[in-house]
This record gives sequence, structure tokens and C-alpha cells, in this order.
Amino acid sequence: MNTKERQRYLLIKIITDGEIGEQQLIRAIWRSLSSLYGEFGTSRTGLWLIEYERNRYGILRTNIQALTMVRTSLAVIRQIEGNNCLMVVEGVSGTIEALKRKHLAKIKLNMQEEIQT
Amino acid sequence: MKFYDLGIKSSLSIGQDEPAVMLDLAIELGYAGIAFADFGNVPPKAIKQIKKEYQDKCTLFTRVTLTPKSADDMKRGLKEVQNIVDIIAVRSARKDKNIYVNAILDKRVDIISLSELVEFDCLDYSHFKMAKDNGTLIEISTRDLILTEKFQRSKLIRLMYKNCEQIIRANAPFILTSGAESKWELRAPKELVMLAGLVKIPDKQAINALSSYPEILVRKIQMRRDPNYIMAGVRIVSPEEE
Repeated sequence: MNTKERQRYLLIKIITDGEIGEQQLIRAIWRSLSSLYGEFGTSRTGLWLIEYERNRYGILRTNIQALTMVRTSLAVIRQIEGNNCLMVVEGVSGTIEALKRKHLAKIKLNMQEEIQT
Repeated sequence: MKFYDLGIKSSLSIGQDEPAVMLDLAIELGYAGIAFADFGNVPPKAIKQIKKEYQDKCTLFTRVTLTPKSADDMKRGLKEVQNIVDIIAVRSARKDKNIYVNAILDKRVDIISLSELVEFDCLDYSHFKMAKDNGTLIEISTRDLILTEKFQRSKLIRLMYKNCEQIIRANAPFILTSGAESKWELRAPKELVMLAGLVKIPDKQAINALSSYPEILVRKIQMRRDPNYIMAGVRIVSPEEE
């Protein structure tokens, strides 16, 4: 029997008016999850912050069963350590490679355009 | 698929951000059309310029949300605004079924707005069935799901769940709105679908609430803008058309 949990990777775009550190971000997500689904629900998510580009984007890993829970918790977050914040899930994929290939290029392109302007 | 958020407030009324700021973010989040619910006392001319600027990127609508004290007060309010704004919404902000029943039956009212705790505790299946028969949209605002916490949120989720269950059972048309009063309260369509999931609205119906049902209203608005339009169900028809 295959007991390995199936994972999903989420690419989240972060829009904020302040500075958000990696620890602050993960703490806010955990707090939001815990507030909505409780400690038991949160324990089922297997949430992990894989990659984080400060104030730009982050890649999260979660169980496939907890994907909706995580996405809902992200939608509920509005402030992190006093900074206004909005998280948009840009894409979901089964592997990091596919996620980056499909969605990250778009974000990086937007970032370059922003820098140029 | 086009998504619409038909309940945003900007700095023209009680919102915090300028219409253009909210509009830029709404476009970035993937909306094809939004309605500014600012036009109770503000003339719709205030966004005429922005409407022109953004006409290729996003469709803009003007909306007024009436909060009448009684059914007569509502009728007076409707008379004042009916030819000025694109969308008319009514909310009671208290437990007054009479206002809602009158609003549902009035063809001038496009949306019955439910956003606060007390409003979700007000209507039942028969009202939603009536709304379906009269083609009135029910607005479910997700703003308080984001703003409230702990006990307040759990109470809100429970009441919203009970209401949404009945709306779906009555097959009444409903729309989801962010009810944003600042750009930080705006949510992307998919995020609103996730929030709707909290109150057990199936994904497919939540997507309809952001695209298909608002599109029905958009068509209604376009019909009203037609110079041949007289009133709901009455339009001047040319002999060729006949």
C-alpha cells in the first residue's frame, strides 16, 4: 500500500505596502489556518514554505486534501505584522518544476516590467 | 470567462482608496467589470472620466445601495435614483422582512444585499423563491468573513451557511461580492470562490455567482441604456423588428 501523501505546490503572489519577512509570512498563514480550522485541521495540512522572494512571491507545499483549506486561509489574511497584505494564488501544480514553468515566468516578467517603469 | 465584482466602495463615499487605485488592482486580479457602490449622494458623473480611461480594460458600473427605514422610504429612494445609476441594491441593516419583500417585488430593484449578521438572519426559503421568480439577484458579501474573527466569524459562517443553503435550494440567482472598502479588501475571483466554500457554496455555483449571474445583470443594464427602453418589459419596437 502506498502511504505517501500526495502534495500540491502553490505559487502565491504577495501584494503588500510594507516589508514581510519569511517567518512573518509563515506565522501569519499558520495563524489564519489555526483560526479557521483549529489545531486539528491545521495538523492535516502538512504546510511548508518552500521558497520566498521577499514581498513578491512564495511557493507553498501542502497535502492535496488540504488544498482548499490552505487557499481559504490565504484569502482571509489581510494584515501581516501591521502591514496590509493581499495574497493571490497564481497557480497550483503537482511539482515545483511545472509550477515554475507555467506560472513563475509570468510573475518574473511582471516584476521586470515594474522595475523598468 | 468574465468575472465581475459588483459591490466595491471607493473614496467617493466611505471607502479608503481612490476609484482608479481600486480599479487597477481589480484588473490585476482578473475582473472584467466592477461596480462602485458609492452613488447615494455622489453624482455618477464623478467617475465619468475614469470610465472613459478604462473602457477597454474593465467595464464600470455605478451602483447605489439603499438602506431604507420602511417600504415607503424605499419607494421614495427608488424614485430619486432609478434613472441616475446603473444598479440599485437594497439592504435593510436590521430584521425587517417587509422592506426585503417590497424590494424583491419591485422591478426597479436589481439586488437584495446581504452582508451583515442581522441581514443573514432575516430571509428564508420563501423569500429566495420569490427573488427567483422576480429575477432579483441576492448579493452575498464576503467582506465580513475577512474582517471578523473568532466567535463573530463562526456565528457569521453559521448564519451565512443557513442562508446560502436555502438560496441554493430555491435555485435563486445570487452574486458574490467582496464588498471592499479599500484595495486591501479586494479578493481575486478564485479567492472569493474559496471563501464561498466556507459557507458550503459549491465551486461551480460560486463561479456562476461571479460570472453568469452578474452577466445577466450587465445585459439588463445595457438594455436599460437603450434609447428605446421605457421600463421593465416595455420597449419601443421598430416595424422592421416586429
